[in-house]
Amino acid sequence: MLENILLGTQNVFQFKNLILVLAGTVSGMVVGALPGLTATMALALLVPFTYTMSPVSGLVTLGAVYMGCIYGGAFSAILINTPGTPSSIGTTFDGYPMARQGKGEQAIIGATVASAFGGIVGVLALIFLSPPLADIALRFGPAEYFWVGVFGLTIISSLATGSFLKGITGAAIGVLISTIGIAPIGGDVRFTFGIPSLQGGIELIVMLIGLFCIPELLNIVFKGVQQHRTVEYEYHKGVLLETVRWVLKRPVNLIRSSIIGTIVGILPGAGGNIANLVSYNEARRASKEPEKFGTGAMEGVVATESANNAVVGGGMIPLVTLGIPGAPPDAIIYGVLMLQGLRPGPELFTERADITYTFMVSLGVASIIMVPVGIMGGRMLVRLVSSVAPRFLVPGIAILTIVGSYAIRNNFMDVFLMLLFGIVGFGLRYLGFQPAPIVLGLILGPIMENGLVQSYLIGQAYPIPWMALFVNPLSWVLIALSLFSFIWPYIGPIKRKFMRMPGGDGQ
Amino acid sequence: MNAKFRDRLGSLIILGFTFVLYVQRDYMTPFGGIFPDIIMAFVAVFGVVALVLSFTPHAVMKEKKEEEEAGGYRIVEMVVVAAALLVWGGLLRQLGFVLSGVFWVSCISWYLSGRQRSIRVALISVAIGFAITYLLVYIFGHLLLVPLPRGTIFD
Repeated sequence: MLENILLGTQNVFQFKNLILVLAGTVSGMVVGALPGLTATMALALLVPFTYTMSPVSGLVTLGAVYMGCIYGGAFSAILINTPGTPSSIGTTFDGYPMARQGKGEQAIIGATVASAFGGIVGVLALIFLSPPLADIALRFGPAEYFWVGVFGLTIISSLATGSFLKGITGAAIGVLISTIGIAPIGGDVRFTFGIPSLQGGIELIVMLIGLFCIPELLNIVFKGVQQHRTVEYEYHKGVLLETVRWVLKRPVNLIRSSIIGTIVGILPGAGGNIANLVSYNEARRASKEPEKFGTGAMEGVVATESANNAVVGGGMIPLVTLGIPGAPPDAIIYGVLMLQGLRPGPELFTERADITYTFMVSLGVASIIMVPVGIMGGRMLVRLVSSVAPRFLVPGIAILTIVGSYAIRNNFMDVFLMLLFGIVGFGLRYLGFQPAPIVLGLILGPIMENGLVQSYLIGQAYPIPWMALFVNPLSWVLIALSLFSFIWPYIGPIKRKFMRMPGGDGQ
Repeated sequence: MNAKFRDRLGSLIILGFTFVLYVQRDYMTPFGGIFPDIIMAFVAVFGVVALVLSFTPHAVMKEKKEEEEAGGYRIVEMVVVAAALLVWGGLLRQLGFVLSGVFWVSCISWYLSGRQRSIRVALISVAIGFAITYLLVYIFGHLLLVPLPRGTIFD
């Protein structure tokens, strides 16, 4: 294996491939930073160009674009409160408040270091742990996926600021919205109100842009701050080294989030959109100052960004070992592998090891290249956004959201729905419903529905069909994890209350 | 608007939304309905619980003092911008991306200038409208090959 890794490294460091990695990372970052353009879209656009490339060059470019895209989403999340890709939803929670407090540069630097770290951890897992980890992923059946969805919903206790009841209601509404369109099993047309465009369902990106960006624009106008800056910029001498040192001095958060990202990436159907929220929740839970999360905590930015980039390597594990794409961008890479005559499986690691290991190492190199390029570009963007007056920024971002939501499916209904969700989201925020749980519900809804209905179908063999949800020991592990995750936020305050009671240990 | 009133309004909107979806139920097979029916039941229960709690001392939202921005809130401006955005989205098909983009970006930018509105500011707003729209046309239309709408009035 070591021989193959060395060969892969040699190949990547050839001038031509290195230039492709650099160009791929930069263009991926630009696409990722534009709301509405996803990694899947960027890779799909690139596929025709790979026809004329050698397998190594094509895969190296695709991998670099993918890595850059996931990282690039952090720029718009931090600077305009709009996740560039669904993998950066969690980055808005603390990144944007940091930018408003004049700490945008720190947030960008922290996100860059975390993304590079997460990317490298994912790639290391891909290189060294592929076969055993892929075997674990195969043990997940429909019932386990349903419970994974339920486990995902338990993180609402962290995402719902203010009220748990409103958080869980918001998540349930998100799940309900995810059922609009054609049912995945049965093919029923549901809740379309006779509008054909709704048969394809509500696009996640449309809702993301609407719920996160439009309310923020309206808020700027509502609060009458047109003459002030939306994002502040404060010059701090030595901010780069100071921030890098700050992030690296807290390795537990980085490692934990990267491991979460890798594991979530391995599970087919779950990607960076789930990994960043789960890792945010875990970082908040483990933090000594959880109350600072949501107000501009660097730990939150670090957790989400390291997790979403670790997903890239994690998602490749079932792809290269079993031919199962973990997420839509992986499916495009799978297509390119097949086009180039490379069949995923053991032979990819033996007969075609030169190509496979070059591809794997190139992902790691792309993670490292992101650091200088991202920090330079990100710092320039912070200064640019902070210098633009809100009266230009508001319509400028509005037109970006419109073109972004249109570009997903070239559908006018998506634009209208995005604006409608934005205006409704502004109202809901005022009534105490935060956008994050609603979006989480929309992400987890399809995973839960597929798991539940497939389990019900499998359960026809049992006296009670729903028993299929409980027969596998792995389901019980996930149920226990969900219960633990659900009650954990309440244990701390109860324990503290108990300690303060007369006669308690704390006295 | 106090916290309890917000709770009541929020709960009623949620219950109304669930009722509208319930009325729309028209499943052809049992499989399409299993999941949404369960979720609808949950949403309805959560809505009722929040509504009931709003009439007790245990209201869901906590009353908190919000700091008002200097100069107060600008509800009219916010409503105008929100309505303009909706109209923009609604007319995108007819007007196309370029015309609607230049028009709305210029108008919103000029409108948000507040008391500084003048011919000079209007000209700057139009220039900004052109610059932003054509930058996006270049990035999305030419580089990323997104077929931006030309507008049915030009067909």
